[in-house]
Amino acid sequence: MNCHDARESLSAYLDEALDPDERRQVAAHLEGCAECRRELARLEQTVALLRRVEPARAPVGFVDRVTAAARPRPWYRRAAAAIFLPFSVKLPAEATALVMIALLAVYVFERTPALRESARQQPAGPEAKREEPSGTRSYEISRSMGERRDAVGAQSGAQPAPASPALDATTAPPSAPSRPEPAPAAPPPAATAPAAPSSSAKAEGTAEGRLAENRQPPAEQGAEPARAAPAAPRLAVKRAAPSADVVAGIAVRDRDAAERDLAELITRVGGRETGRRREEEATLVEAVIPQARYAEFTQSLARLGAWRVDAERPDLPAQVHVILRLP
Amino acid sequence: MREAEAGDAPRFLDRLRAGDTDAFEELVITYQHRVFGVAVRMLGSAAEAQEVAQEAFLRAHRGLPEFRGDAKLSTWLYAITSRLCLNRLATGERRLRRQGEETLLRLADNDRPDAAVERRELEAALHRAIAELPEERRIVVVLRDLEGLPYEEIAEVLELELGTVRSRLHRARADLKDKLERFLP
Repeated sequence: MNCHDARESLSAYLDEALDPDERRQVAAHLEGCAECRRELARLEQTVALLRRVEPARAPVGFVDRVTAAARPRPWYRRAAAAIFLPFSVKLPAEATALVMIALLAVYVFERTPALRESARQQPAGPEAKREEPSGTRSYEISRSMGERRDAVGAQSGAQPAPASPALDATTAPPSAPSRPEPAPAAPPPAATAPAAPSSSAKAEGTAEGRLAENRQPPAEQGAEPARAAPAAPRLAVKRAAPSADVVAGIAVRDRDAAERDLAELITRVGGRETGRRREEEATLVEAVIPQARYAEFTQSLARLGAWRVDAERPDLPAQVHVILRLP
Repeated sequence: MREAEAGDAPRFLDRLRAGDTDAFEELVITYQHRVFGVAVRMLGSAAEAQEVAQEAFLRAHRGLPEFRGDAKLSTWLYAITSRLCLNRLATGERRLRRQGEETLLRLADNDRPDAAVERRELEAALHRAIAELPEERRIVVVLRDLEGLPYEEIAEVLELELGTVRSRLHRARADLKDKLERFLP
């Protein structure tokens, strides 16, 4: 056996892990080789050093931790772990899924008209029922709002344009197709509430007015937002219940003369003109006539031209609000 | 004497296989330091070693119903632990390597507060020299010179030929001899 082979076996020789034949050969080589004997001694000292290493000890509480971890967990803990663990992966994924579901729900809602309709009807229904008994009151309120606004329009006579919405809104009979549409933002109540009973038409109108207010496009509030904002519900309400007590047309030959005569007549019967707008096709005159002299007013009016009533309330108030159209 | 140490008594093995929690606790108590010792020498970090040692016992717990008793319980536990350590080292799943080395040095200090500076130096040099060995040699020297396993058991634990165990051990010791030269008489 040479030195190389002997040194390969020195470790096992130390541990007495060689078979007897091998062991004899190594022993014979060591007998005659001082270098290999020195090597064996160094190896033996190294192993002795290693065996002086303090044995490692598991930390305190290790047994408890292991036995606790080995204990079978109740089903709800296992389920929670399956759903949430590891937190760093599953929580963001679950949050993302939640957001995507929400977005999908909004998308489906937006794309499904039937869903939108039912969502719109739900708030209108109970409100209409609640307001049904006070439907007349809401009409009165909206009417008084209209009058107040009309008065403002009359005061700013130098600015006929702001007053025109009131006239447009109140002169909305179907016989005046050339007039601008008063409230394009508000769809007809029948379209939004087809199943609503006819007995609650006024209340529906009020509710619709509120909805119209909510849906009012910003462009319509552009010029005078302070005035346009309260006008929106009123305009929509007037479609269902016009604030004028009488709406009539008079066919005259000379419009200028008729305007003058009408102004005189209004003054004569103790009334007052609250608005006037002259357009290419017709002049719209708005006036308030005392009910006591309304009969006299209509008789005198008939002398100005062919008198045709488009709408008239059966029970006229003390101050009759009249809108006349002079073509 | 604990049943676990009494040579894997059949009754103890039956209790373990049946899922007896007391028997499992006894197994952990008996082998905790040995399993942890192999892990900490192999990984160099007490925190990682604790993690691996716990995992080794949990795997044993799961595998106990199928444990046939062909090998000794200790051999089986060493085999699970060695495999976990080598896998962790091979997959690069290493954390706190530097911190681990410091942990070992600190452990040496704490365990022997009365030790002389030279002694602490030797301990540190030994730990460092072992940590620097290639993993397949390190596990053999740990099992042989620190845990005192016979060659045959090491071969069984690591599923190696006896000759491979011998040659790896020899090379590991030769490396350590060179590195620890200044501490040899």
